[in-house]
Amino acid sequence: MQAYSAISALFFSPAKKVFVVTTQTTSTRPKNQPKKQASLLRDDLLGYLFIAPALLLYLTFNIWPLIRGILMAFTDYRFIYPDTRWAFNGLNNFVKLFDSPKVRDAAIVSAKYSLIVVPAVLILALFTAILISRVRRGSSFYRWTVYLPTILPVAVSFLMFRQMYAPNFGLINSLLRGFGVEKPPYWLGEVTTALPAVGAAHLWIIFGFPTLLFLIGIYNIGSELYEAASLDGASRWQQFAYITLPLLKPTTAMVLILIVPGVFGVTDPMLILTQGGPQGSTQTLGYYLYDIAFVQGDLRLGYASSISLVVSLVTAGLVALIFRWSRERE
Amino acid sequence: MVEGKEIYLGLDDIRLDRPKQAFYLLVTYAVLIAGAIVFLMPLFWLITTALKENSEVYVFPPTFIPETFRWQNFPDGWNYEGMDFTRWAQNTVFITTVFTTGAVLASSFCAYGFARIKFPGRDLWFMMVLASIMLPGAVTLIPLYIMYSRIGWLGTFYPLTVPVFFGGGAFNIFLLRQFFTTIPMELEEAAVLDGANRFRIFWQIMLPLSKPALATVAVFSFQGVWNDFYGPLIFLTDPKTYTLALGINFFRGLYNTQIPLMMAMSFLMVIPTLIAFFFAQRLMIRGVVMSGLKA
Repeated sequence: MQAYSAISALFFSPAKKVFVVTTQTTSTRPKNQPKKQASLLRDDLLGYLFIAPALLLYLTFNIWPLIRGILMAFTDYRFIYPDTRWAFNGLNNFVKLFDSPKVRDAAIVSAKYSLIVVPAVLILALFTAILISRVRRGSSFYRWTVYLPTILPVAVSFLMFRQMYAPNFGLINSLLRGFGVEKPPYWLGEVTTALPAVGAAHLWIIFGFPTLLFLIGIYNIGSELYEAASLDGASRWQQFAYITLPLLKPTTAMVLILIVPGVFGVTDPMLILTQGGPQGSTQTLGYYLYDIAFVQGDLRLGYASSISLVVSLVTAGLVALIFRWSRERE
Repeated sequence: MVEGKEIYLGLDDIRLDRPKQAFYLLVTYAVLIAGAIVFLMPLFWLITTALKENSEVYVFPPTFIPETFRWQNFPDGWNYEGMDFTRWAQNTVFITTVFTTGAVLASSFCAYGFARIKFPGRDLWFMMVLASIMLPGAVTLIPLYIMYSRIGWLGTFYPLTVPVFFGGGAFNIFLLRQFFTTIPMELEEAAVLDGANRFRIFWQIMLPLSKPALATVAVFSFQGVWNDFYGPLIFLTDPKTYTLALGINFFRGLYNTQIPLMMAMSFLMVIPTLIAFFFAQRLMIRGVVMSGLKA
């Protein structure tokens, strides 16, 4: 159960009243529970009563929409024509989407975006975690700082960045002019800079939790290994390459699993910052899907569903790959 | 294990007889402090812009501290023509309160069933609930949209509040179930002997003992729903039903030049999340790191 072990990656450990992180699969049966339950006879019915709401929710809000979503991907449903609801058209949507230059361009933008943001998050989070782990004084302040953006409303965060990226009087360009840059870029208004600029804002927002996870990973390695290594004459760089990196592999896998789906399917920042522009340079698959399903023309929900199905399958594939990688032994 | 060892040092540990180590430490602190300043800059900029005159936004070089603190931006933004921040704030508070209550009640209820009551297929059902965490939201969004539109829920608060009462979210169920399984069975058995039924045990024993876990669920739920943008964007179509997140974005779309007012409203929206963060901080962040330190 791949899905299951991913979730157990982050769970609440009540004994310490804290969150602990593990990548092991936990058993669904609690260990300290006695096998025989005395004097509680009508367990069966009561059990269903307790979880009935969850099951109802599960069926209504997960399974049914999932089935419906998959079926809809094979129809030509347009929201403004209700009678097209079950207008099955076979594989037409998929033929169309794999032929469509717009989908192809959006897929390229999504891939580029992921290739910018995901490595940047990994490298910066790891680097920051290492720095924080090395200091004692003020480390809680840095943890606090790093995590802060994660809790801000995305609408507000991206608005802030929009202001900072403003071409003439935004903070960034004002500073650049102050340093003597004659013609600072227009950031969100230029084809070449828009995507990295959005990515930087996104990085700022999501980077706190990965940093904390890495920090926990480093703390868990403990100082003994490093001390032994430095006694053996290992340099800092060697310590990093042969102790820190290999031992943080499970953490890295978890960070990837947490951020890859959100980054590959990214929509929110484009909605607030760029509306997919300029010239489609920030039109990701997520944004394109939103656009054709809820904004454009006759709201082609069928076609949008086929795109979302493909996006989901790709994401699931990526997560599975990360899992395999994390299980590999050197 | 941690204290006093060489790899965890403060500035006061700098020793001149070990120049190399002192140098590393100074560089580490310099990078951290510079990083923290850059990192906090957007938020600082939000606050300082929120207090500026509109004309001061367009001066070069930019001022880091407003020349005059214009507190009037807050009432001005709140009452701006065509904007309805009072209503949006009410909507947001309403949705947040209902959602958070529902998440805590429903998920603890389900979690208790999974943790303590044996019934056929329990583990299978639990696995399925968990698997739904990994379900890509994108596939179910459009069908949900259609479902809500057919039962007339589009443009109402129902899509954002009702579903949570059925189950309270798979992740929350998981979290609480983990917690419940560690509460000693003997407590419950004693209560049964005293004649308490399942519901009383749940209400009077399990819930009071689980306050830290329940608080965690509450804080996470609060932040998730208060900050949500995509959900309200899809399901709330009428500006009267907007939440603050949508309202601020709406304001930005119409009055792009009223930057200080926009920032003032954004800052107001941030305050509750900051307060929640300080609660969460105690429960979570410190806990996360402490667990690492003590492991």
